[in-house]
Amino acid sequence: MLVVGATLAFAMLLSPTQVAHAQDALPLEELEQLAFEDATRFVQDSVVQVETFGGAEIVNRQLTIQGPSSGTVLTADGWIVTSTFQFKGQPASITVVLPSKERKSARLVARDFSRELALLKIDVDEPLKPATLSDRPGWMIGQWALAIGKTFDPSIGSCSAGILSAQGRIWDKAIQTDAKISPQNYGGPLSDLNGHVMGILTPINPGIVTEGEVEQWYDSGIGFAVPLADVLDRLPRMQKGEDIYPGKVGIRWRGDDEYNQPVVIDGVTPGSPASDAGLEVDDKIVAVGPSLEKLKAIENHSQFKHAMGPLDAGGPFAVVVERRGQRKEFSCILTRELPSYREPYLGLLIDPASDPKNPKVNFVIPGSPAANAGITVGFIIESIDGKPFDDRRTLENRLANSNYRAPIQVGIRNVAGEPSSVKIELTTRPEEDLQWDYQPAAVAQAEKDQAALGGEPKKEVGTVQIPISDVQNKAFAIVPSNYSEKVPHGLLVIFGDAGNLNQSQWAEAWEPFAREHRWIIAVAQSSKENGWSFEEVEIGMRMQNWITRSYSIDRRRIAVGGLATGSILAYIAAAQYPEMFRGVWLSNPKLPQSIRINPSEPFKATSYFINGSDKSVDAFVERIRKNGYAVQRQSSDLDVLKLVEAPLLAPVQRWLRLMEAY
Amino acid sequence: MMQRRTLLVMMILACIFGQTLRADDTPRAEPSKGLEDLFQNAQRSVVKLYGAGGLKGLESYQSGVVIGDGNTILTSWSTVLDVDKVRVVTYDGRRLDAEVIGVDPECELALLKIEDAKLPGFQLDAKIQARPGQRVFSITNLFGIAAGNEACSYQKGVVMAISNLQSKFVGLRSVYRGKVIVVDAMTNNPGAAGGALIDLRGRLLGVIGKELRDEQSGIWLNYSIPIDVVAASVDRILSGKTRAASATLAMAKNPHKPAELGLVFIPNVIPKTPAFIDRVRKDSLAEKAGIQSNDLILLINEQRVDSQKALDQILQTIERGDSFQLLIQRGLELVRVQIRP
Repeated sequence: MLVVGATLAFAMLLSPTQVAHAQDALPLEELEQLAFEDATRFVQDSVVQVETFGGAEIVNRQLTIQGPSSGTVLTADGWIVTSTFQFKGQPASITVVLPSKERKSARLVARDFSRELALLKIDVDEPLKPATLSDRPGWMIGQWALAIGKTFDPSIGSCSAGILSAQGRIWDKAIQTDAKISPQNYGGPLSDLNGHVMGILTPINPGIVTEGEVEQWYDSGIGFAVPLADVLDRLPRMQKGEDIYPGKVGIRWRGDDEYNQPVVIDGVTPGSPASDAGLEVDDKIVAVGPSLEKLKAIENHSQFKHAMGPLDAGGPFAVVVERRGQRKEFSCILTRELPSYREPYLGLLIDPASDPKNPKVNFVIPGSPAANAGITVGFIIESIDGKPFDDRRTLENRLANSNYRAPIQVGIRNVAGEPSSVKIELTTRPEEDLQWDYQPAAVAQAEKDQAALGGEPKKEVGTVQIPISDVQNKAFAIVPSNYSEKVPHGLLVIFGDAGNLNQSQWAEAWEPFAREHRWIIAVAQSSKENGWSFEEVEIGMRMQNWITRSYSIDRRRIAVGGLATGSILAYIAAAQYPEMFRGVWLSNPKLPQSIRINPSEPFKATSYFINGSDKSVDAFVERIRKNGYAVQRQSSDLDVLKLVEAPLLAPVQRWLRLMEAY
Repeated sequence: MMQRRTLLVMMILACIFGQTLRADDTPRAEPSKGLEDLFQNAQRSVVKLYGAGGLKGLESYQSGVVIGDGNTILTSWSTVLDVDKVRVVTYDGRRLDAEVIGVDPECELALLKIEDAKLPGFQLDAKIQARPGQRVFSITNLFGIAAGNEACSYQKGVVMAISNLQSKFVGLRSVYRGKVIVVDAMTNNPGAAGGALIDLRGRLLGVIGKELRDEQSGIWLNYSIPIDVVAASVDRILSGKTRAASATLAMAKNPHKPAELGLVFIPNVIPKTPAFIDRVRKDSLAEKAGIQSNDLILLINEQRVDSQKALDQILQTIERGDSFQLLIQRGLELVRVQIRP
């Protein structure tokens, strides 16, 4: 109440009419009411009706809203800001109805995709009344905020009263209000009690994923406005027809505790602004900003995201890092799209039992970059680009963050123990069915050990029922009879085609592969005969969880598969947990055309094996490849009832084995 | 200046301490104690009504306001009233039978009579005008939440606009097409129709209308029928001079057809193909009016032409002998042309 009263009084000091009212000894509610009315009258001449004609009705399966929306006048000569909301459907015409009720044809000059705003230009005969900027330092959470639109009448503003609920929302791009926001006043101002504009109402919200995919939050007590000052800052660029996009820098950072962990770089996307500027893995980011003069101190992930949020593509970016105890400053220009990432590939297997600091080559895939560079079994990898490893993870990180287009320098020690350095031209993961054969030395050794020891604690092998209570689904695992705790196994979690599965048939089909190459195959059955429901993705996660706790699993060899109706669940599981599943096998997939595909990133560069003769699959494969993923495509259909046909499974199994390769 | 500063300080203090702090020689500016009384009093003039319904999503209850002498109830004309006796439950829990004495089909309002109830009634003062920005309260029995002597519900809001249902909302299926008060609170819920919209002084500003959704935008409209319209409607009902509701988009007996006007549009292949003119036939009405190929029709008689389908629908309502106006976009120009048969 204090805030409200003080703000109100402040408003009255500025407005002679209200002071006069106050002296008539009116109760607070009536004073507030007079302030609402005065503010609305003051601001309404800067608000216009925006209308579109024609254009798609449905964009991304959502009905686009018809009927007028609002806009706010920025300059006297006809620059008007509105929300992008009406333009998703590519309208044939845009018109603006001025407070004088005169209708004008408008040009869409530029859009701000980061804030869901659009800039319109109309030709004017008479100067318009631009919105007056509200003074941001004076804002207080809890003060009145009026959402003004031209929903009903072009000359009279419609007013919804609320308060300023919060600042710094949507990664510091928006302020929040509880005034009633709807598509009809999107583009209109959020005004203070002086009729001065705090922000422009927009459909921006935390749920925005891509253009057109705007989750609607209106009428729910939460609405957002982009501060007018931020709109005016970008006006000169937008007036030149430049669209605004969120700026990307191209780094990943360590850990997932938003509020308690410093931002330590875990990966720099090759070819990104960050890598061009010279940022490196292990750099700790301590300050960022649009320039070295306007830095904000960064202590945790959340602060970093808030500092990045308002920065646009094409705009300057300054960053200060701590590198080995020294402060270093870097600058770059943020980009709209990062270069698409593809996982680099060496083509060698590492002995899992070898020293993590000195990984030993177990096998070299014929024709691979490693083979071409002369690396053979028994070599020790000592460094990449001059940097040694602390553990297996560092090795993976070095490789994952290398640019597959550029060569790397690898420090090696040959079988005779002689050190040298070789240049390796990296490639991306193979997309063809490689015929290669190899019996890992470690496996052979483990077999001997097992025979010799015999005393290892016995784990259940064969067809093992996976305990998942409280659901209808049945799940089982095929654990090879030669399972040994000493050898980390691969894990393939399969969502079967809907309906009952013949467990013994499955075991017969997979057991030879599982035994020979040390894999565990876990299979989930749908709870209903006729199909899967999306929630059942969780079953796969629980199976994965149970098996990794019960058996020794190699985290480089965890894959998920889906047969026919089960394929969508496999895809969703992989999309949700890209760091867990390094491979996805989709057999005769049935996927919706519009399914979302996240671009590939280091450690999220799942490789795919997709089989099926249906032509619709090709379109999906093309999209997957475009997003940077390696796909092995086979046109064969797999008869899910005749899984025993080994020739059909053999290519899948070769692909599974390749997952292990660096 | 002194006085202003005093006022400021007093207001802040008043806000902090509420009613505990008060000086006789300063203006009253505390949150008014009046509101509490107002809520108590206005509440007595709103009744809960029960009648027919309960099937197919139609509620069997709604709200009503007591007017004038305290024995007359004004409410929304709906299927709830399709019974011999409408059950009225007053603020103090009395259960009374009411009879419908007249309806106004145009405004969808009805008057009910109860015997000797002596309830406090609202005055119908046609001079009271709602204004955008004005603070309002609704009093309704939304969702039938109150029963017996339980109080009807208050909702607070601000007047968003005074508008006309006819002009702006083509997607609305409402019989009433006149002036409305639009508010920013969710007032128009099941059972709320017929309730009261009051101002800060407890005066009746309007009667809550039926639930209404704009089918084009999917947005629910929260509106009341303003007091001047209500007062005129009550007069008509009492004097027996009500009119039938006029059909909103009357079909013409012999309407215009695009082909006969000489207009050839681009192929209509998508659901919302814009009304782009491909060519204009020689010596046609369209050519005489100055329409050119590549023109885009935006409005016909101020009605939105969103697509070729919409254009056909609007032309259906115009008699072939009548002239009409088009708003056309030509390049970046907006041009008005008149078609004169």
